[in-house]
Amino acid sequence: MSTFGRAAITHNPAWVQLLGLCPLLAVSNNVVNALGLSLASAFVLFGSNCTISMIRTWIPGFARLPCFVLIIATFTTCTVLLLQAFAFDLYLRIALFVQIIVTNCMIVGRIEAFASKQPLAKTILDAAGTACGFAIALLALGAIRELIGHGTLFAGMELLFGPTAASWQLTFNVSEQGLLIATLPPGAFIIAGLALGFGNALLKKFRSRQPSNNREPS
Amino acid sequence: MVKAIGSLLGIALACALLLGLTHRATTEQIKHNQNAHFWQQVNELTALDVPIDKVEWDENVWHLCNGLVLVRGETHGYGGPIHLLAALQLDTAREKDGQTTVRGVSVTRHQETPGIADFISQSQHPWLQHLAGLDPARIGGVEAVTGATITSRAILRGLAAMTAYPELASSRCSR
Repeated sequence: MSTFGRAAITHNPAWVQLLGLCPLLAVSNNVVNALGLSLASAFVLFGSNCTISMIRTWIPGFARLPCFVLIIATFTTCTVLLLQAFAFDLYLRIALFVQIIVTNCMIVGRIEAFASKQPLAKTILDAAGTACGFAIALLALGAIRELIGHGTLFAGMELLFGPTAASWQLTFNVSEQGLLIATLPPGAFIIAGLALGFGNALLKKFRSRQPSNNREPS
Repeated sequence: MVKAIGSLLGIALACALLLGLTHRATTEQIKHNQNAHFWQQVNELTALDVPIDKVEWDENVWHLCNGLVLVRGETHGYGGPIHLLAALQLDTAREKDGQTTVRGVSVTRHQETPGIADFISQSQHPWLQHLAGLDPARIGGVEAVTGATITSRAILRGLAAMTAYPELASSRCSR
């Protein structure tokens, strides 16, 4: 399994490593919020991992965590400023969660475990994989919750892609009102838990099909 | 040790530089966005033929003519102050007892919990739409939104206070 595949699927940050659950549950109530946050997280993850991988020989060992956090915080603030400048309406919706990307364990975790020890080329793959894995988890949850809670899909995409994206919305009027609980936190926990179980069951099946010398301890 | 301190200083300087450059590059655009957002809210509330781009506040109240009044207020929400804008329609036909109607409410600033109570910043939300056309005496009877009771009540309290401003009685109007 390549570095990218390992980071994105078999070591998926949200479903396998259970990192970054706070933004995962809070912002996944519809697809556009989930997409916005996964893009912001990806930018911070990618930028900080690559930067730290490039300067890893200069970071003093005893003070590495403050350095990591400083760099991640810088990227987070830059993301906040860029979002405010270029996607203001979306920013208004997910403001708090973009600001706390710096506390997302997934980012510090990947840096400590991988980026601070590996060369840039491998780090790029790992960071891209982790960002994709997180995005997959976030978008899947967002789509399910939006579908069940509001009966729509891709509502509000014009916040990210401009006015032409307003026509991407799909509406499934199955009942008068969606299931309210799916849009509230308890529903997020329940649906995320089910998705977690389902995702892990798939992974188990996937792993058992691998040739035995590639099998990793679960 | 010296090398370590040098590295730390270097990293800190580089981060500060990156932040400073990004800030420089985005300040203008951000201010423009914030202004555009504010005027969009004001114009949605007042719905005049000619869009507004300047407000003349007289102690939180601005009388546009034809009985339309723009009011601003502040109330204590769940996570901090909530800044409100409301458009009220004063009944100018009966000068003696003015019958006011709420034409619309907009939230310009808040610190409410995202995902749970931040629907208040979406002006098209059904609960805020429900406040349009309301008689101020019936504000107390409006139900709060599930999961956001304190926020809802704060807005209703603020709205009730705004409809009771003494400056509403003035008849000076501009525009």
